[in-house]
Amino acid sequence: MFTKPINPNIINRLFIYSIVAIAFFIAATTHASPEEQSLTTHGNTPITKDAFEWQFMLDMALVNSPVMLTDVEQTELWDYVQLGLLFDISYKGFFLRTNSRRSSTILGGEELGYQITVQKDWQLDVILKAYIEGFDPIEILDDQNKDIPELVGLNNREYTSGIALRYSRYFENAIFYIDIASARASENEQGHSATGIIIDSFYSYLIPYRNWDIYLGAGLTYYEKALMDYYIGINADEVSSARPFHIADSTFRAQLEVYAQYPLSQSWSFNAGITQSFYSNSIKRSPIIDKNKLTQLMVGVLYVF
Amino acid sequence: MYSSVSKGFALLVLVLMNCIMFSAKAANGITVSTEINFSAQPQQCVTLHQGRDCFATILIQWQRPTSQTICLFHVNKKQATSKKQLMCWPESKAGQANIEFESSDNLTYQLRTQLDDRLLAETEIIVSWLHKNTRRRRWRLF
Repeated sequence: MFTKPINPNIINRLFIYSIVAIAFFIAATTHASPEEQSLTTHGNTPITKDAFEWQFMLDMALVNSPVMLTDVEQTELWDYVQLGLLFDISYKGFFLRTNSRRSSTILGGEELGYQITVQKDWQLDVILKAYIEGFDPIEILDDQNKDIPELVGLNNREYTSGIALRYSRYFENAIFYIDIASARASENEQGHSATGIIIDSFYSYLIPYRNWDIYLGAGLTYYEKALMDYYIGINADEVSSARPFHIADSTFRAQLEVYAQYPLSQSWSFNAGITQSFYSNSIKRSPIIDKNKLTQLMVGVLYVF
Repeated sequence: MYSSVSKGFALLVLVLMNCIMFSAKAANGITVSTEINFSAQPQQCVTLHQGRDCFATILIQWQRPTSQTICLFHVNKKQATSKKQLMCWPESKAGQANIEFESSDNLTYQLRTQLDDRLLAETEIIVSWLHKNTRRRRWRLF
Protein backbone atom coordinates (compact mmCIF):
# COMPACT_ATOMS: atom_id res chain seq x y z
CA MET A 1 0.00 0.00 0.00
CA PHE A 2 2.75 2.41 0.95
CA THR A 3 5.57 0.46 -0.56
CA LYS A 4 8.90 2.25 -0.59
CA PRO A 5 11.06 1.97 -3.70
CA ILE A 6 13.98 0.81 -1.55
CA ASN A 7 13.44 -1.01 1.69
CA PRO A 8 16.60 -1.76 3.65
CA ASN A 9 14.48 -3.43 6.34
CA ILE A 10 13.87 -6.32 3.98
CA ILE A 11 17.09 -8.01 5.05
CA ASN A 12 16.06 -7.78 8.72
CA ARG A 13 12.62 -8.99 7.86
CA LEU A 14 13.95 -11.87 5.80
CA PHE A 15 16.19 -12.79 8.71
CA ILE A 16 13.25 -12.89 11.14
CA TYR A 17 11.21 -14.71 8.55
CA SER A 18 13.99 -17.25 7.98
CA ILE A 19 14.34 -17.89 11.70
CA VAL A 20 10.59 -18.49 12.02
CA ALA A 21 10.62 -20.75 8.97
CA ILE A 22 13.64 -22.75 10.13
CA ALA A 23 12.17 -23.17 13.61
CA PHE A 24 8.92 -24.31 12.07
CA PHE A 25 10.80 -26.64 9.72
CA ILE A 26 12.81 -28.22 12.54
CA ALA A 27 9.73 -28.69 14.67
CA ALA A 28 7.90 -30.22 11.76
CA THR A 29 10.66 -32.60 10.66
CA THR A 30 11.02 -33.86 14.22
CA HIS A 31 7.44 -35.07 14.24
CA ALA A 32 6.74 -35.44 10.56
CA SER A 33 4.25 -37.99 9.40
CA PRO A 34 3.54 -38.69 5.74
CA GLU A 35 -0.15 -39.13 6.28
CA GLU A 36 -2.64 -36.35 6.59
CA GLN A 37 -4.10 -35.82 10.01
CA SER A 38 -7.70 -36.94 9.98
CA LEU A 39 -9.98 -36.21 12.87
CA THR A 40 -13.63 -36.87 13.37
CA THR A 41 -16.10 -34.40 14.76
CA HIS A 42 -19.24 -35.30 16.71
CA GLY A 43 -21.24 -35.23 13.50
CA ASN A 44 -18.84 -37.70 11.87
CA THR A 45 -17.76 -35.01 9.48
CA PRO A 46 -14.18 -35.70 8.45
CA ILE A 47 -11.76 -32.87 8.95
CA THR A 48 -8.53 -33.24 7.09
CA LYS A 49 -5.91 -30.74 8.00
CA ASP A 50 -2.68 -30.26 6.14
CA ALA A 51 -0.06 -32.88 6.90
CA PHE A 52 3.62 -32.08 6.88
CA GLU A 53 4.28 -30.50 3.53
CA TRP A 54 6.80 -27.96 2.48
CA GLN A 55 7.88 -26.04 -0.53
CA PHE A 56 10.85 -23.75 -0.81
CA MET A 57 11.01 -21.30 -3.69
CA LEU A 58 13.18 -18.55 -5.03
CA ASP A 59 11.39 -15.63 -6.63
CA MET A 60 13.15 -13.29 -9.05
CA ALA A 61 11.09 -10.62 -10.74
CA LEU A 62 11.02 -7.19 -12.26
CA VAL A 63 8.30 -5.13 -10.68
CA ASN A 64 6.82 -1.81 -11.64
CA SER A 65 5.08 -0.74 -8.48
CA PRO A 66 4.19 2.94 -8.20
CA VAL A 67 3.77 4.47 -4.76
CA MET A 68 0.86 6.62 -3.70
CA LEU A 69 3.03 8.99 -1.64
CA THR A 70 3.31 12.47 -3.14
CA ASP A 71 5.96 12.73 -5.90
CA VAL A 72 7.63 9.45 -4.91
CA GLU A 73 8.76 7.36 -7.87
CA GLN A 74 10.83 4.28 -8.54
CA THR A 75 14.19 5.78 -9.44
CA GLU A 76 16.90 3.15 -9.62
CA LEU A 77 17.19 -0.24 -11.27
CA TRP A 78 17.16 -1.97 -7.88
CA ASP A 79 13.73 -0.44 -7.22
CA TYR A 80 12.37 -2.65 -9.98
CA VAL A 81 14.02 -5.85 -8.79
CA GLN A 82 12.24 -8.17 -6.44
CA LEU A 83 14.02 -11.13 -4.88
CA GLY A 84 12.35 -13.40 -2.41
CA LEU A 85 13.02 -16.64 -0.59
CA LEU A 86 9.65 -18.25 -0.14
CA PHE A 87 8.56 -20.98 2.24
CA ASP A 88 5.29 -22.81 2.24
CA ILE A 89 5.17 -25.17 5.20
CA SER A 90 2.31 -26.93 6.92
CA TYR A 91 2.09 -29.36 9.79
CA LYS A 92 -0.96 -30.63 11.66
CA GLY A 93 -3.08 -27.68 10.66
CA PHE A 94 -0.43 -25.05 11.25
CA PHE A 95 0.91 -23.32 8.18
CA LEU A 96 3.35 -20.71 7.05
CA ARG A 97 2.32 -19.75 3.56
CA THR A 98 3.26 -17.39 0.81
CA ASN A 99 0.26 -15.46 -0.30
CA SER A 100 1.08 -12.24 -1.98
CA ARG A 101 3.81 -10.08 -3.33
CA ARG A 102 6.36 -11.75 -1.10
CA SER A 103 9.23 -9.39 -0.48
CA SER A 104 7.14 -6.26 -0.04
CA THR A 105 5.86 -6.76 3.45
CA ILE A 106 6.97 -7.93 6.85
CA LEU A 107 7.81 -11.62 7.00
CA GLY A 108 8.06 -11.58 3.23
CA GLY A 109 4.29 -11.44 2.90
CA GLU A 110 3.92 -14.76 4.65
CA GLU A 111 0.89 -15.80 6.63
CA LEU A 112 1.29 -17.77 9.80
CA GLY A 113 -1.90 -19.60 10.56
CA TYR A 114 -3.87 -22.48 11.93
CA GLN A 115 -6.71 -24.31 10.25
CA ILE A 116 -9.62 -24.27 12.68
CA THR A 117 -11.77 -26.40 10.46
CA VAL A 118 -11.36 -27.81 6.98
CA GLN A 119 -14.45 -28.93 5.09
CA LYS A 120 -15.02 -30.08 1.53
CA ASP A 121 -15.90 -26.67 0.13
CA TRP A 122 -14.76 -24.28 2.82
CA GLN A 123 -12.42 -23.77 5.69
CA LEU A 124 -11.84 -21.45 8.60
CA ASP A 125 -8.36 -20.34 9.60
CA VAL A 126 -6.91 -18.00 12.14
CA ILE A 127 -3.97 -16.14 10.66
CA LEU A 128 -1.28 -13.70 11.61
CA LYS A 129 0.08 -11.51 8.86
CA ALA A 130 1.29 -8.04 7.96
CA TYR A 131 -1.41 -6.09 6.20
CA ILE A 132 0.21 -2.70 5.61
CA GLU A 133 3.83 -1.84 5.10
CA GLY A 134 5.28 1.19 6.79
CA PHE A 135 7.54 3.85 5.37
CA ASP A 136 10.40 6.02 6.50
CA PRO A 137 10.33 9.51 4.89
CA ILE A 138 14.07 10.01 5.49
CA GLU A 139 14.94 6.88 3.50
CA ILE A 140 12.52 7.85 0.77
CA LEU A 141 13.95 11.35 0.45
CA ASP A 142 17.50 9.95 0.35
CA ASP A 143 16.48 7.68 -2.47
CA GLN A 144 14.48 10.19 -4.49
CA ASN A 145 17.30 12.72 -4.98
CA LYS A 146 14.80 15.55 -5.06
CA ASP A 147 13.04 17.77 -2.60
CA ILE A 148 9.55 16.67 -1.60
CA PRO A 149 8.33 19.29 0.90
CA GLU A 150 5.28 17.19 1.80
CA LEU A 151 7.57 14.48 3.20
CA VAL A 152 10.33 16.57 4.82
CA GLY A 153 10.15 16.23 8.60
CA LEU A 154 7.34 13.70 8.49
CA ASN A 155 7.40 11.01 11.18
CA ASN A 156 8.02 7.46 10.06
CA ARG A 157 5.14 4.98 9.91
CA GLU A 158 5.64 1.41 11.05
CA TYR A 159 4.01 -1.68 9.56
CA THR A 160 0.59 -2.96 10.52
CA SER A 161 0.11 -6.57 11.46
CA GLY A 162 -3.09 -8.25 12.37
CA ILE A 163 -4.69 -11.37 13.66
CA ALA A 164 -7.54 -12.43 11.48
CA LEU A 165 -10.25 -14.96 11.06
CA ARG A 166 -10.27 -16.16 7.47
CA TYR A 167 -13.17 -17.85 5.77
CA SER A 168 -12.26 -19.53 2.49
CA ARG A 169 -14.73 -20.93 0.03
CA TYR A 170 -13.62 -23.28 -2.73
CA PHE A 171 -15.32 -23.63 -6.07
CA GLU A 172 -14.51 -25.78 -9.09
CA ASN A 173 -11.84 -23.46 -10.44
CA ALA A 174 -12.05 -20.55 -8.03
CA ILE A 175 -11.36 -19.45 -4.50
CA PHE A 176 -12.99 -16.74 -2.43
CA TYR A 177 -11.71 -15.68 0.94
CA ILE A 178 -12.43 -12.97 3.43
CA ASP A 179 -10.26 -11.91 6.36
CA ILE A 180 -11.67 -10.04 9.31
CA ALA A 181 -8.61 -8.72 11.06
CA SER A 182 -7.91 -6.87 14.23
CA ALA A 183 -4.86 -4.91 13.19
CA ARG A 184 -2.31 -2.78 14.96
CA ALA A 185 0.06 -0.27 13.47
CA SER A 186 3.24 -0.52 15.51
CA GLU A 187 4.40 2.38 17.62
CA ASN A 188 6.74 4.77 15.83
CA GLU A 189 9.55 6.85 17.35
CA GLN A 190 7.07 9.51 18.41
CA GLY A 191 4.99 6.98 20.30
CA HIS A 192 2.11 6.99 17.84
CA SER A 193 0.33 3.77 17.08
CA ALA A 194 -3.14 2.76 15.99
CA THR A 195 -5.51 -0.14 16.12
CA GLY A 196 -8.40 -0.87 13.84
CA ILE A 197 -10.28 -3.34 11.73
CA ILE A 198 -9.26 -4.49 8.28
CA ILE A 199 -11.66 -6.53 6.18
CA ASP A 200 -9.92 -8.01 3.20
CA SER A 201 -11.64 -10.12 0.56
CA PHE A 202 -10.40 -11.65 -2.66
CA TYR A 203 -11.84 -13.82 -5.41
CA SER A 204 -9.54 -15.69 -7.74
CA TYR A 205 -10.72 -17.61 -10.80
CA LEU A 206 -8.40 -20.03 -12.56
CA ILE A 207 -8.50 -20.45 -16.32
CA PRO A 208 -6.25 -23.36 -17.32
CA TYR A 209 -5.08 -23.03 -20.93
CA ARG A 210 -2.81 -25.87 -22.06
CA ASN A 211 0.14 -25.67 -19.64
CA TRP A 212 -0.68 -22.11 -18.59
CA ASP A 213 -2.50 -21.14 -15.42
CA ILE A 214 -4.28 -17.83 -15.84
CA TYR A 215 -5.83 -16.34 -12.72
CA LEU A 216 -8.38 -13.54 -12.82
CA GLY A 217 -8.75 -11.86 -9.46
CA ALA A 218 -10.85 -9.20 -7.80
CA GLY A 219 -10.55 -7.90 -4.27
CA LEU A 220 -12.19 -5.44 -1.93
CA THR A 221 -10.51 -4.25 1.26
CA TYR A 222 -11.73 -1.98 4.04
CA TYR A 223 -9.35 -0.07 6.33
CA GLU A 224 -10.75 1.50 9.48
CA LYS A 225 -10.30 5.23 10.04
CA ALA A 226 -7.79 4.98 12.90
CA LEU A 227 -5.38 2.96 10.76
CA MET A 228 -5.69 5.27 7.77
CA ASP A 229 -5.18 8.27 10.00
CA TYR A 230 -1.99 6.73 11.35
CA TYR A 231 -0.59 6.43 7.83
CA ILE A 232 -1.90 9.40 5.88
CA GLY A 233 -3.19 11.71 8.58
CA ILE A 234 -1.02 14.70 9.56
CA ASN A 235 -0.53 15.21 13.27
CA ALA A 236 -0.11 18.62 14.91
CA ASP A 237 3.63 17.99 15.34
CA GLU A 238 3.97 17.30 11.60
CA VAL A 239 2.22 20.40 10.28
CA SER A 240 4.29 22.55 7.90
CA SER A 241 3.58 25.07 5.14
CA ALA A 242 3.42 22.21 2.63
CA ARG A 243 1.59 19.88 4.98
CA PRO A 244 -1.57 21.08 6.70
CA PHE A 245 -3.22 19.23 9.58
CA HIS A 246 -5.27 16.35 8.25
CA ILE A 247 -7.50 13.67 9.70
CA ALA A 248 -7.93 10.75 7.35
CA ASP A 249 -11.13 8.84 6.80
CA SER A 250 -11.76 5.12 6.54
CA THR A 251 -10.81 3.78 3.13
CA PHE A 252 -11.81 1.14 0.64
CA ARG A 253 -9.51 -0.46 -1.88
CA ALA A 254 -10.81 -2.33 -4.93
CA GLN A 255 -8.42 -4.46 -6.94
CA LEU A 256 -8.53 -6.21 -10.30
CA GLU A 257 -5.78 -8.62 -11.17
CA VAL A 258 -4.59 -10.90 -13.94
CA TYR A 259 -1.80 -13.35 -13.18
CA ALA A 260 -0.30 -16.02 -15.42
CA GLN A 261 2.16 -18.82 -14.76
CA TYR A 262 3.85 -21.22 -17.20
CA PRO A 263 6.20 -24.13 -16.41
CA LEU A 264 9.59 -23.73 -18.07
CA SER A 265 10.96 -26.95 -16.59
CA GLN A 266 10.47 -29.20 -13.59
CA SER A 267 11.96 -26.48 -11.37
CA TRP A 268 11.38 -23.16 -13.12
CA SER A 269 8.23 -21.29 -14.00
CA PHE A 270 7.59 -18.01 -15.74
CA ASN A 271 5.20 -15.63 -13.99
CA ALA A 272 3.63 -12.35 -15.02
CA GLY A 273 0.84 -10.27 -13.62
CA ILE A 274 -0.85 -6.92 -13.48
CA THR A 275 -2.87 -5.46 -10.63
CA GLN A 276 -5.00 -2.34 -10.81
CA SER A 277 -5.88 -0.85 -7.43
CA PHE A 278 -8.46 1.83 -6.78
CA TYR A 279 -8.47 3.52 -3.38
CA SER A 280 -11.24 5.79 -2.07
CA ASN A 281 -11.00 9.30 -3.52
CA SER A 282 -10.81 10.70 0.00
CA ILE A 283 -7.19 9.59 0.44
CA LYS A 284 -6.08 12.27 -2.01
CA ARG A 285 -7.16 14.91 0.51
CA SER A 286 -4.08 13.96 2.51
CA PRO A 287 -1.15 16.24 1.62
CA ILE A 288 1.22 13.24 1.46
CA ILE A 289 -0.89 11.32 -1.07
CA ASP A 290 -1.21 12.28 -4.73
CA LYS A 291 -2.68 9.19 -6.34
CA ASN A 292 -5.48 6.80 -5.55
CA LYS A 293 -5.16 4.56 -8.60
CA LEU A 294 -2.12 2.33 -8.92
CA THR A 295 -1.15 -0.02 -11.73
CA GLN A 296 1.42 -2.60 -10.69
CA LEU A 297 3.20 -4.98 -13.04
CA MET A 298 5.36 -8.01 -12.39
CA VAL A 299 7.36 -10.27 -14.72
CA GLY A 300 9.64 -12.92 -13.29
CA VAL A 301 10.66 -16.48 -12.74
CA LEU A 302 10.15 -18.82 -9.82
CA TYR A 303 12.51 -21.64 -8.90
CA VAL A 304 10.95 -24.49 -6.92
CA PHE A 305 13.38 -26.56 -4.86
CA MET B 1 5.42 -34.54 -0.35
CA TYR B 2 6.84 -34.39 -3.84
CA SER B 3 10.06 -32.45 -3.71
CA SER B 4 12.25 -31.95 -6.75
CA VAL B 5 14.71 -34.36 -5.17
CA SER B 6 12.19 -37.17 -4.96
CA LYS B 7 10.86 -36.41 -8.44
CA GLY B 8 14.39 -36.40 -9.77
CA PHE B 9 15.14 -39.69 -8.00
CA ALA B 10 12.02 -41.29 -9.45
CA LEU B 11 12.98 -40.09 -12.90
CA LEU B 12 16.50 -41.44 -12.46
CA VAL B 13 15.14 -44.85 -11.43
CA LEU B 14 12.86 -44.92 -14.49
CA VAL B 15 15.73 -44.04 -16.79
CA LEU B 16 18.01 -46.68 -15.23
CA MET B 17 15.30 -49.35 -15.53
CA ASN B 18 14.80 -48.38 -19.14
CA CYS B 19 18.55 -48.72 -19.73
CA ILE B 20 18.58 -52.21 -18.27
CA MET B 21 15.53 -53.37 -20.21
CA PHE B 22 16.75 -52.12 -23.56
CA SER B 23 20.43 -52.68 -24.02
CA ALA B 24 20.47 -50.99 -27.43
CA LYS B 25 19.15 -47.77 -25.94
CA ALA B 26 20.41 -44.55 -27.46
CA ALA B 27 22.12 -41.86 -25.39
CA ASN B 28 19.06 -39.54 -25.38
CA GLY B 29 16.83 -42.16 -23.78
CA ILE B 30 15.19 -43.34 -26.99
CA THR B 31 14.32 -46.98 -27.35
CA VAL B 32 15.96 -48.53 -30.37
CA SER B 33 15.54 -52.06 -31.65
CA THR B 34 17.88 -53.66 -34.13
CA GLU B 35 15.24 -53.20 -36.84
CA ILE B 36 14.32 -49.59 -36.42
CA ASN B 37 15.53 -46.19 -35.23
CA PHE B 38 12.79 -44.44 -33.28
CA SER B 39 12.73 -41.12 -31.50
CA ALA B 40 10.14 -38.94 -29.77
CA GLN B 41 10.98 -35.41 -28.68
CA PRO B 42 10.59 -33.91 -26.16
CA GLN B 43 10.58 -36.90 -23.83
CA GLN B 44 9.31 -34.97 -20.83
CA CYS B 45 6.19 -32.84 -20.41
CA VAL B 46 6.05 -30.50 -17.44
CA THR B 47 2.82 -29.20 -15.98
CA LEU B 48 2.35 -26.69 -13.18
CA HIS B 49 0.39 -28.88 -10.82
CA GLN B 50 0.35 -32.58 -10.08
CA GLY B 51 -2.65 -34.27 -11.65
CA ARG B 52 -3.21 -31.67 -14.35
CA ASP B 53 -3.17 -32.67 -18.02
CA CYS B 54 0.13 -31.81 -19.64
CA PHE B 55 0.20 -30.52 -23.20
CA ALA B 56 3.05 -30.84 -25.68
CA THR B 57 3.68 -31.36 -29.36
CA ILE B 58 5.78 -34.51 -29.72
CA LEU B 59 7.88 -35.01 -32.83
CA ILE B 60 7.87 -38.69 -33.73
CA GLN B 61 10.53 -39.95 -36.15
CA TRP B 62 11.47 -43.44 -37.28
CA GLN B 63 13.62 -45.10 -39.89
CA ARG B 64 14.26 -48.72 -40.90
CA PRO B 65 16.14 -50.48 -43.72
CA THR B 66 13.15 -52.15 -45.39
CA SER B 67 9.67 -50.97 -46.32
CA GLN B 68 6.74 -52.09 -44.28
CA THR B 69 3.47 -50.65 -43.05
CA ILE B 70 4.18 -49.32 -39.55
CA CYS B 71 1.62 -48.02 -37.09
CA LEU B 72 2.01 -45.69 -34.12
CA PHE B 73 0.19 -46.41 -30.88
CA HIS B 74 0.06 -44.77 -27.51
CA VAL B 75 -0.33 -46.74 -24.31
CA ASN B 76 -1.12 -45.60 -20.79
CA LYS B 77 0.49 -48.35 -18.74
CA LYS B 78 -1.72 -47.50 -15.78
CA GLN B 79 -4.70 -48.62 -17.85
CA ALA B 80 -4.40 -52.14 -19.20
CA THR B 81 -6.70 -51.63 -22.18
CA SER B 82 -5.57 -48.21 -23.22
CA LYS B 83 -3.61 -49.08 -26.38
CA LYS B 84 -4.78 -46.72 -29.08
CA GLN B 85 -3.71 -46.54 -32.70
CA LEU B 86 -2.81 -42.99 -33.72
CA MET B 87 -1.70 -43.40 -37.33
CA CYS B 88 -0.03 -45.67 -39.88
CA TRP B 89 2.60 -45.16 -42.58
CA PRO B 90 1.85 -47.52 -45.51
CA GLU B 91 4.86 -49.37 -46.97
CA SER B 92 7.50 -46.89 -45.78
CA LYS B 93 11.13 -46.94 -44.75
CA ALA B 94 10.81 -43.79 -42.66
CA GLY B 95 8.15 -41.68 -41.05
CA GLN B 96 7.67 -38.45 -39.15
CA ALA B 97 4.70 -36.90 -37.39
CA ASN B 98 3.80 -34.24 -34.84
CA ILE B 99 1.56 -35.71 -32.19
CA GLU B 100 -0.44 -33.59 -29.76
CA PHE B 101 0.27 -35.01 -26.32
CA GLU B 102 -2.38 -34.44 -23.64
CA SER B 103 -2.20 -36.54 -20.50
CA SER B 104 -1.74 -36.34 -16.75
CA ASP B 105 0.07 -39.72 -16.81
CA ASN B 106 3.16 -40.98 -18.56
CA LEU B 107 2.36 -42.31 -22.01
CA THR B 108 4.30 -44.86 -24.05
CA TYR B 109 4.50 -44.51 -27.81
CA GLN B 110 4.92 -47.75 -29.71
CA LEU B 111 5.72 -48.61 -33.30
CA ARG B 112 4.14 -51.85 -34.42
CA THR B 113 3.89 -53.69 -37.70
CA GLN B 114 0.41 -53.53 -39.17
CA LEU B 115 0.65 -57.05 -40.53
CA ASP B 116 1.20 -58.95 -37.27
CA ASP B 117 1.07 -56.25 -34.58
CA ARG B 118 4.69 -56.93 -33.66
CA LEU B 119 6.28 -54.38 -31.34
CA LEU B 120 9.31 -52.80 -33.01
CA ALA B 121 10.13 -49.98 -30.64
CA GLU B 122 8.68 -47.90 -27.84
CA THR B 123 9.51 -44.85 -25.82
CA GLU B 124 7.87 -43.22 -22.84
CA ILE B 125 6.94 -39.57 -22.42
CA ILE B 126 7.28 -38.63 -18.76
CA VAL B 127 4.79 -36.21 -17.15
CA SER B 128 6.23 -34.23 -14.27
CA TRP B 129 5.07 -31.20 -12.37
CA LEU B 130 6.31 -28.12 -10.58
CA HIS B 131 3.92 -27.96 -7.62
CA LYS B 132 2.14 -30.64 -5.71
CA ASN B 133 -1.56 -30.22 -6.25
CA THR B 134 -3.24 -28.27 -3.48
CA ARG B 135 -6.53 -26.45 -3.45
CA ARG B 136 -5.27 -24.00 -0.91
CA ARG B 137 -2.72 -22.14 -3.03
CA ARG B 138 -3.72 -18.60 -3.72
CA TRP B 139 -2.03 -16.14 -5.98
CA ARG B 140 -2.45 -12.54 -5.18
CA LEU B 141 0.21 -10.25 -6.46
CA PHE B 142 -0.05 -6.92 -4.73
